[in-house]
Amino acid sequence: MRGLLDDAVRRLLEGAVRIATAIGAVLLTVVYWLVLGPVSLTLRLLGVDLLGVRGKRTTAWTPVENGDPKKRLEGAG
Amino acid sequence: MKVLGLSFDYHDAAAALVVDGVPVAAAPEERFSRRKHDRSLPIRSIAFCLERAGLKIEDLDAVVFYEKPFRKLSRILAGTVSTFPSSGPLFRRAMGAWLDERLWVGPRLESALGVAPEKILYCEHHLSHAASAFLCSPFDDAATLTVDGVGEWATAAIGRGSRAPFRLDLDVEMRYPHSLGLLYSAFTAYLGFEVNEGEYKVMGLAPYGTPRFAAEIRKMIEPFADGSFRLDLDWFAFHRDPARSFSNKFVEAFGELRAPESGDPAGDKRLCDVAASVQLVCEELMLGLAQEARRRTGSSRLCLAGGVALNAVSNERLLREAGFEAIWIQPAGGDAGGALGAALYAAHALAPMPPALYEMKSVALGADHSAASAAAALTEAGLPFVELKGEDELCDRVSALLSEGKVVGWHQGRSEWGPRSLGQRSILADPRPASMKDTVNAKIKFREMYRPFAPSICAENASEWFDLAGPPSADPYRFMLATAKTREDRRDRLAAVTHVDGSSRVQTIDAAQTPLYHRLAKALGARTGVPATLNTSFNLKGEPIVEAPADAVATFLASGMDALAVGPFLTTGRPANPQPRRETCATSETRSDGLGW
Repeated sequence: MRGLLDDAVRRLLEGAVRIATAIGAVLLTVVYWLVLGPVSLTLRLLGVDLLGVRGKRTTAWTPVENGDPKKRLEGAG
Repeated sequence: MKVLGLSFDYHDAAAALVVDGVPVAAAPEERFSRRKHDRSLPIRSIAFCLERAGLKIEDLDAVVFYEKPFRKLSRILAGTVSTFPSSGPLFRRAMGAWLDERLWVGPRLESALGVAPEKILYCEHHLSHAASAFLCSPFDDAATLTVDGVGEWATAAIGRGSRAPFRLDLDVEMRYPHSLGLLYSAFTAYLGFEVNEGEYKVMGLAPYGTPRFAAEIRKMIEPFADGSFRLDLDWFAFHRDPARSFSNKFVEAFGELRAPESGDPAGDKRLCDVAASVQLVCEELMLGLAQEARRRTGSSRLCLAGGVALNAVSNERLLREAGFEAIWIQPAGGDAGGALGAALYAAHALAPMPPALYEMKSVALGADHSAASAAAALTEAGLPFVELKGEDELCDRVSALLSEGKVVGWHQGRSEWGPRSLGQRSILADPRPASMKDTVNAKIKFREMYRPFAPSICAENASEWFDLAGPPSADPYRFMLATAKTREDRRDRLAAVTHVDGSSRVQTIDAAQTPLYHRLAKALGARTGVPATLNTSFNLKGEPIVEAPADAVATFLASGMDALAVGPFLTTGRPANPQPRRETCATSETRSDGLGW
């Protein structure tokens, strides 16, 4: 009896995870098409090159701003 | 000041503890969890580091993560926006992983470790790499060059450091998607190897081929006079595909890709030529980056880190051609090394007084294990063993076995920091007979037959046997980070460790730093006339290097090794019922996130 109950709970949890994963995938797909899509089109119309792949360049180096070493460690972004 | 550095969530999670500017313990999580390239929050490594130093989590002044997660997320979003609408699958996969865990580094550390939020700091990815090299080097000031797949946005960076007063700045960086590491990884995947794992297999395959595709590969690259370059993304897919790094154009140019881990790539001339070509182009690009570091900083000393800094063939060319007087390379050049770099940077940045100068002369920063635990592991496995009386007898007995053509597992002292076994967790054999390579490959390592083995040689004898590109006792040869040609008149006596092109990935053994291993090589030299060993990592294909004596015993039992020396104990026996070869814990490409998301 206990084994059957454990098995049922496990199946229930696995089902819940599958449903949550599917919902997550749907939501992310919606975000991708309804948010990132318009953002992408707008940026392209404005000629923004986020990855630095277009246009003539003479270097691929980008200068780095170095501040106070202590402050540099603050924050995750 | 006590600082814990951490790397996790990508590949090679690790922890490193720095006390007053000196690393006292450092280890990757895979050594303890026994999962190759374990990327999870390194709880076991953290526990080891703290225990080693006799500290509790509340004793720490700071816990430093090796990169800035939000900045990294911004790069991934920019990449998916720029490649809309073909980046849908990548967006879903990446965001799933980010929302699930990667975005919450701070809260996860608070929850798992109980560390106060104000003590959690973040060091930029390439700054962590630069610190891992400069603050372990013997230099008071030097240029730094870090090159890998990608960190937050940066894929390579040139900087400069000085010890007193402390300053470590990055001058310039190259940014995603223009990446030497990702270029090399695309070829790694194309050649059927696992990204972030199989790059050194490409390096080992290259000498079997000729670089006839180099001109084709150069078409993928727009080089600039200052050593920087841009990639032509028409050849790649890593910026829009979650599981594939190269495009159809790539396959059209180089032919059908090799199925993962299928057949013997050395038997296919085309694949060998592709490997030789990408290796040559990698060397050329690294040389350009290093020369720019020299020009930009004016320094005659270079500190090198990042995954590409583990390319030993490229490193030899830097030693010979880049124009630096001295080059120091972090032995843990990959992301694990970022944990140490982040801790060292914070220890210097936060310290009220400059810490004492530290130079990494030994990589023995991992765990050591008692003789009692070694005896217990052997007893539990039912292996007969003898206890040897001191190091002289140990070296005498093991060198005798090696000279008789036996293959010996060698588990001594603290484990090594970095991906190389350097005489603490090694499988050893006689480097003289060519057949030994096949014996070790077929019976013990179960790995690709074409791959070469490395020699370890007493530093004072190294120049007689190898054409080193630098002083034998100095880095990077001490840590097996550069190749050298075996001298032609000695190749027949180092046949098992000399590659098809005459090169060797040689490790020089310093008597002061690794005295026991040096004594063993010396004893073997007295018997054979060659003061060197064949040295390969103590693991089976797809598994992490062994950590505890029990791991060593398990690997011994699952392989065809002839003897095992664990601490003072030696066994040459086998239990009555040998165990079948066990399953490995290799991590797949998709799980190791080799494409930078």
